[in-house]
Amino acid sequence: MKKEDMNHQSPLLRIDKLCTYFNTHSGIVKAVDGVSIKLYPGECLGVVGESGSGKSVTFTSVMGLIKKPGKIMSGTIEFQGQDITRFTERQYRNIRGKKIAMTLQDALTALNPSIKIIDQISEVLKEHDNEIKSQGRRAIKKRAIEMMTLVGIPDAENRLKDYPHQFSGGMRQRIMIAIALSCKPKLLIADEPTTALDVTIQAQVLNLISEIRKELDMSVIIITHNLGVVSEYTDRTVVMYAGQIVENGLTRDVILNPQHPYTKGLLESIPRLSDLGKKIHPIPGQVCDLVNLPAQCRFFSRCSYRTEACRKNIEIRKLDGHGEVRCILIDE
Amino acid sequence: MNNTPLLNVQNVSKHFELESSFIDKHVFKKQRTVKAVSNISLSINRGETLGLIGESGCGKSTLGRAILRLHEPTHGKVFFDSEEVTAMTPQQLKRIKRKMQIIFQDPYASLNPRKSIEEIIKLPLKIHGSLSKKEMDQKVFDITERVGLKPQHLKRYPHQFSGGQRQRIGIARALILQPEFVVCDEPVSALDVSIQAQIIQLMAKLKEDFSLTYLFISHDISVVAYLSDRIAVMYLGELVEIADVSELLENPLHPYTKVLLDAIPRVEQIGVHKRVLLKGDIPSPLNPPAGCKFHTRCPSAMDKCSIEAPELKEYIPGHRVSCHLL
Repeated sequence: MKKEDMNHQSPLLRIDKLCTYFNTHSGIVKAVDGVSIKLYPGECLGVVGESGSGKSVTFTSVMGLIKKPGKIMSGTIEFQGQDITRFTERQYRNIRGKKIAMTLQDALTALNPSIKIIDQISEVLKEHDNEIKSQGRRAIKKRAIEMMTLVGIPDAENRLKDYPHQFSGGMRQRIMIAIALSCKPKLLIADEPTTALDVTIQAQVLNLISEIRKELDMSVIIITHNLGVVSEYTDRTVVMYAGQIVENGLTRDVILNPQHPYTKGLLESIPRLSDLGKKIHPIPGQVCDLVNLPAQCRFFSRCSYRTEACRKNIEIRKLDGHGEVRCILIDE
Repeated sequence: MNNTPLLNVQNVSKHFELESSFIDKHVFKKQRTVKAVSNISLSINRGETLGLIGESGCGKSTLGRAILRLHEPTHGKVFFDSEEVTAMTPQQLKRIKRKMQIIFQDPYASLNPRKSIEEIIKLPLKIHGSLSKKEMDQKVFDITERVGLKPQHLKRYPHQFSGGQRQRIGIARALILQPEFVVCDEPVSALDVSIQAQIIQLMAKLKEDFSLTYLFISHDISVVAYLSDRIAVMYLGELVEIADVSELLENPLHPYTKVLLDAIPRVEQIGVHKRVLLKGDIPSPLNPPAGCKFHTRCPSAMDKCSIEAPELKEYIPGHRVSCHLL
């Protein structure tokens, strides 16, 4: 998939000015506030952000899983050309798990602790794949073994009857990926797929996602706060802060030539193994309160480049080339 | 400069006995034991930061706690400033604890939710107490400022603070007695990236200001490498390699260390680079492999490795490795 080709195709997923708000006791939390993202077929997109950035809520919204007190207030989410924000729960079930699959950070939360793995895999297969459903239990079992082996679970046949807690964290993450991929979705959304895992297992899981992505010609979204993961595994990167996108571009550009002060700040605050002598410069302060947002740049209080001109709502705008940035101080 | 290390750990092991059924215990005489830490010897010099890295089940946190006798070592000795900590009576231990403190990983679990910040930070002073109320208040005030919190925070409760702030409170509590040695057990792992950076910087500064010696335990190798002078690598309870930071990064000798360092995704590395991936999972500490514990996953394992466990030897001055390949 050449990068030039991507621009000529229509996006697989198109999020347009999405607003998802939560009505809490302390007020309305604008968790996602005007987020627009395009994802093309076969692409791998990194979504970077910290607590309160809205990165997880954005994709939970895509999956139609926002519950009270949260609500998608406005904006559209188009998947394969259709606006899925208008879908009924029934219509969503045809997409969720089948065309768009999502894995979560904590596999123990995603997997049912009181159901055997084989039954959890069967449930998904039967729900989404009528053909295999009609072929019966043996065919389903065979497919389940294939899937478990594909994701690197040793002795798969014997382990089908085990429960989630009998697997290690890394294995559970892989089982979750296996379940997510069981119906060969067009889009895999991996929410912090490596955060709870050991480094050597992280490498295995990311390698697995990369390989399967090529095999199935699948698009992947990796939501993470780990800039190393983004650098190595993604084609494009979106940086989110306090419910908005602050920077968006080719990964190479965002990492090697960051534009937004937050992105720059993040990159300057992480220790680099290849340059340990280099002092880190932390971003001062904390993310602002998402209730009662002042009408100014949301990064204002922590930005070392701030000026009086930043005391207004800042729009995102295109940069020369393929990127976008939400900052008035960057020359176009 | 005094040549005796501040901390000397000699052949320390920590075993945990797991519950067995009555039959297993009394008829089959089987006892399931987790050898969380096996025969570790190392020393830390005054003013040094020794980093301790390794993955799940390697025993790094257990070792940190065993050194402070928060877990009683099953075997071995720990010397602090030439005094044998492992042989101390409770009273003697209490005295030495002033000088040896710990910062915990979980900023949410390590603070008593029912006490105000002031009470939490003041408690170590009260326990070891000989100060007047005024003197204690002053010390609390001073340390609070040093860790970047404000006086008005003192009357508040833990739940009113963010993770990063709570970690600052934990640090204040650990440092108020002006210890000499601090075990830092994953102090930034539960924090957002930008807050991690703040706490890392704070810890580096406090180390200088208070002339501290750190044992810095973390699974985040970049963070450990940034703060440490030397790094020790653990696998399934054993020490597999120990060297100066730059030496370890440039010249890792143990196959596990090589794979571990290689597995870290690097920010400057745009696009995946081919790496050697370890097969399978880390074995259970309940049932560790025979011989070299790493042999089941080692890309270079020989026959000898499954039979005989290698010893930690010094190959290059200051660089010790435990591997048959060398």
